[in-house]
Amino acid sequence: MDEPLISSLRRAVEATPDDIHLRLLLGQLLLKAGATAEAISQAASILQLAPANTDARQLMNDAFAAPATAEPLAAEPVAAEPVAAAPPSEPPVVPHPAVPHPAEPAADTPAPPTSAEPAAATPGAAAVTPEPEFDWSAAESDVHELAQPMFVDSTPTTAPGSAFDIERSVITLADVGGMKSVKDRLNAAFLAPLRNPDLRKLYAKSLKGGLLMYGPPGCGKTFIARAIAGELGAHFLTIGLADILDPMLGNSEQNVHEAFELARREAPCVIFFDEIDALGQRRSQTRNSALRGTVNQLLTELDGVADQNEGVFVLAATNQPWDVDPALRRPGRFDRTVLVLPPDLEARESIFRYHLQHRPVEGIELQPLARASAGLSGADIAYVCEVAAERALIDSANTGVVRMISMRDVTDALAEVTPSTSSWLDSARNVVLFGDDDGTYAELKAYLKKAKRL
Amino acid sequence: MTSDAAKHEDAALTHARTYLSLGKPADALAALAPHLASHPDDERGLCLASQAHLVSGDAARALDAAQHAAALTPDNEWAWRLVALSYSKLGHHPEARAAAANAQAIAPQLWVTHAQVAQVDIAAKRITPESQHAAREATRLAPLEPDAHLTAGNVALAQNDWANAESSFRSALRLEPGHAAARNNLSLVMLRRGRAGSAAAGFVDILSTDPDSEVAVRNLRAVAAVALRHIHFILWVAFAVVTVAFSSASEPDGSPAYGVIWSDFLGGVALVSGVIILVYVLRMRRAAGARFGQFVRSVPRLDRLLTAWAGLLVADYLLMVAACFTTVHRAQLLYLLAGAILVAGSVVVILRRNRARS
Repeated sequence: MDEPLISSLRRAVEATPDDIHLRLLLGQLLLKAGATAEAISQAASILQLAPANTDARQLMNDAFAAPATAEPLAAEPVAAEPVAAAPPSEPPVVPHPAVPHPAEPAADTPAPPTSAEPAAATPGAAAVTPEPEFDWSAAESDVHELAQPMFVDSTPTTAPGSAFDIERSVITLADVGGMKSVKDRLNAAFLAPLRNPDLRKLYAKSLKGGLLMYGPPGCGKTFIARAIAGELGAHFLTIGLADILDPMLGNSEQNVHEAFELARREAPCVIFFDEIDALGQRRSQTRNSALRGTVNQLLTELDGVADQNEGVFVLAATNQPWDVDPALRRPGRFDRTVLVLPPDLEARESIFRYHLQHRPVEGIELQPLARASAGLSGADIAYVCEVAAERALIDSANTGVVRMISMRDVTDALAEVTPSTSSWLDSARNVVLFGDDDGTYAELKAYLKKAKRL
Repeated sequence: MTSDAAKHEDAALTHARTYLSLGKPADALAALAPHLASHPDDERGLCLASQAHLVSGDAARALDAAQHAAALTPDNEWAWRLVALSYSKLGHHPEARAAAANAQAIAPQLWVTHAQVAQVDIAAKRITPESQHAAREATRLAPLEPDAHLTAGNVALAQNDWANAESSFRSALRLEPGHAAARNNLSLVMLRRGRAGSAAAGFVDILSTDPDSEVAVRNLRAVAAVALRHIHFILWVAFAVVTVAFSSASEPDGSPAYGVIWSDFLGGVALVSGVIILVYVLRMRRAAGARFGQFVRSVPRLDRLLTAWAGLLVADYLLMVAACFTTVHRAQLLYLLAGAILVAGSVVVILRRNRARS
């Protein structure tokens, strides 16, 4: 039995998670020992590090092809013990990688006599299905591990005595791929005065006022807001309509006040109002008196920024700046605007890389994909990657042979997806044509002209 | 029910109302879901859910919720109005009319029930004396309610009663100057009465405050099409006059006197048609005011076929003018070409019409 060897290899892999050879060896031993799911997990981890590794692909194929009866030793005690924990009709369940494997602590502590894992194996069911079948559970577990979020440090925490989530963002503008013009504008309009207090004093530049980001949906406004917080080393407090609205009279106003109070306590803090057009809708457009009071409270809090809110930076995002109450856009409030457009070539390449890097891919050329995806939003590109992954998954399920996501999967998916930004750009065109008497949307106008939509 | 539970229940309904007022039906439904799960027979929750479904365009589900509410509280006029509206959206006009009449009978003191009867008849394109009476009753009961005047205007519009329609829409706009529906329908009346400039200004106004308004974009295209059709007609008449004159002329082509007379004649036709077109455009410009420039600039961005049509008409007029300065034989050729261009313009009109139908 290779159990001691497997245990020591596990420890070695834990110590050096990027060592492909160790992982491969461990995976092969696990497969031999019948721990198919773990072998798949190891193969997936290797493919994540080295998508072209043929040994890892072979290991994954072997693991998927291995009959489920090979699910290990653990099956035996269960066979002797007719526990009804797993109904016979259920498919074999692969233990979740995050759940401690009984074999793991075996080196120094004995595994408990009744563990969760053995119940998962249903020998009876496995015996009648000798054909290699696609193991959906294994695939799910596998994907779960692959799809871990890239940025895990900025875990939100609820401030004591508050209903709002506040987090410490670790993203900076360097993490935003491409979009140089947006970054330049952010620097000029917002970051440079904040970073240079001496120059600010010299030119008597006030810090009063917030920044309004607008643009089509799914183009990364919230991500950029987080990046600004990271750039400033500030806490990040995100506020949506649902966080503020309260049916009880006066509570919505109180919620706005509390959000600002929390930001003041946690300063430096970026307070970010998502979908500000919903909260700060033109007062002429709403007959809802509760909302009018909320907008008034927001105006009061914004006006107080210079005196009370040292270290509080107010950002807002909207898809429809033309629906935002003009009072919110007066000097000293959201008086600086940044247009966040669909990602440029470089940004699209980064987004493709981000969404494909944790998936088993082969032969993906990012530049042609970036060129072919002009006009798509970040969310559209994420969807393209999802569709491509789905194609590969279904194909693997149908053939019983696991295959990587190929360039063709992605290009086919790309052909299926239409830009979700089109309707926004149509509305934006109407704004520029009919509602831009004062030149507020000059930047948007220039973009539309360049994109031949005007 | 304890007072806390009642408060919680009211809170859910108020939340849903707030979301509906913000135009967020999905959020309203999400706010109502737990309330309706615990109180499936609460007629207010069901009516709000029906309203939210209507806003999100799901008339079938709106009808289910409204019918459930009406079954629970048969004397609830709100529920019957929602049933009427849902049936109307689904195209079941007799059922919609019956439900609206039911609401009207339950609460004749409320203007909305009368307005609902009128609206159902407008949707069914079947204006009766009852519809007219209902619209009048709505404005009598709520003279300060813009929507009551809007309903009265819509009834008049459906009957091609332009004067009354205009008066009602103007009343609604006096009460609420930003009322988009009243502004749109008033502009439609202007268009029907041949005041294309005023209509264009109205639709541009709507788009300046509500750039998402597809109705206003469509209507603005219609204004441009009406204006171009007018110019097209003038050019057809000019072409017809010249063609008839050419075909009935008896003098030999080579005669110098013949050439001089024809040049003068062609020049006269081009001048007269040009002046008529210019007067038409200037009148439009005066009616549209500052919005005229925006209207003209927007046309090429809104509809390429309209741009092509306008281009053909300009080319046609230029050929007519050029024909004045050449020999008779060449003038005939140029007029043949102008005729072909006018036919091409008519083909563009047909293409636009087919596209609109599809």
